[in-house]
Amino acid sequence: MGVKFFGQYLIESGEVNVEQVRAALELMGTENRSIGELAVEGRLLTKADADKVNAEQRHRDMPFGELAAEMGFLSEEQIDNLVQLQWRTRLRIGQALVRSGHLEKARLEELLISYEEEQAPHRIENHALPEGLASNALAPYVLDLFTNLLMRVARIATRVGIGESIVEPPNFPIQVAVSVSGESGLLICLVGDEDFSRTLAAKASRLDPECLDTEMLFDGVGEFLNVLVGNAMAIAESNGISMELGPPQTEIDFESGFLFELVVNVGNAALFLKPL
Amino acid sequence: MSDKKLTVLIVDDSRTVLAQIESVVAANETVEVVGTACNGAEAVQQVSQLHPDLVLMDIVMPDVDGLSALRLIQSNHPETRIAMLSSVGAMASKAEEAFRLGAIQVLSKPIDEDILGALFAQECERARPEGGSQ
Repeated sequence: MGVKFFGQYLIESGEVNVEQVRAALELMGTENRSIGELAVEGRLLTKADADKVNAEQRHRDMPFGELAAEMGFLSEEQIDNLVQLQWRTRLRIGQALVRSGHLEKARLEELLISYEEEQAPHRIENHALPEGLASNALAPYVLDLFTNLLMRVARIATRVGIGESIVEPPNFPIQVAVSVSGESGLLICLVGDEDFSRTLAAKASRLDPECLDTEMLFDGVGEFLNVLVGNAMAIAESNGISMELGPPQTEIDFESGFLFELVVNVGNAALFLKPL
Repeated sequence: MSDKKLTVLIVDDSRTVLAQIESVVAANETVEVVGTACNGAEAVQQVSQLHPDLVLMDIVMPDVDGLSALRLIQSNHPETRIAMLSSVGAMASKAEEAFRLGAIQVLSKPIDEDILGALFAQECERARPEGGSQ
């Protein structure tokens, strides 16, 4: 069992079906207010200015708040407050299912407890962060999940060392990174020798290690990173932080950032994090 | 659906994921993989050519991503059953958008083979002449 969306958990549990989830999402779409609507309601923005931002959004693929700040209508602080307000007042999927009549309120409360219990193993101890990473909202989740996920997915036991500012690029044959863009951008890179990478790629995919060519080693390590970072982003998002994940990459810029030595029971490896 | 197997198209930019799902399918005599694609554009093309019963599709892929492909496939072939299988499937924003666009399930990675097996069983059952109504 991995980290999962509450609506998917309800479908898998047989509590609701996909059509009922869709109906609840429709209700959320009509009830939940956009950043622009909240800004107008809070008199931070006139309707005319909000319309100007919306019109500009049709030509540029940018979030409303970011564009409104660029156009000089809202300050960074106002946008942060609006995002928090939007998050606090948002109708959530469970509540929407109750409102749509597909779930009893008392049953929702029971299911939220079961869901939290099932998800609890994915929320583990806090990890000490070096100063340069302390303000990054995603890095703690990545580090917290790393050890647990590596064991669960590949049966590799790990101890994560203290992150230190990188002095020179790590020298490992397999190096894969994924980058996360958004309000807490981060490059996450896992590097390892052939033993570590082959074990990880094979166990994570349940394929025969001898069948994996070099490209599949990169690919398997990249897939593990995707799962690690996707799960970390899901937890960050449940705390109101939004971001986007890019596909794995093998061209990595190691200038600045933090290297975490890994003590693993197979081969050698390290984790590199760099705020973007 | 006594003789006909459930036909599946797998869409993922990871060769290891494609190989893993193919091995799960190979062990299931009611399901067969009729095609694979490594990005959303290929997926749209393959659905038009192969008309699979079920599409299993990643979300984060280069060029045309899974949600854009889901939108295109649902618009051209609304009868296609598509389940998303992604490392960002647990993110409420992605899962909600996928369901809104017509996904029948949003599974998060790593792949849980039991849940995948249950999805295949559900879709086989649904494809029977007297099958379910979901």
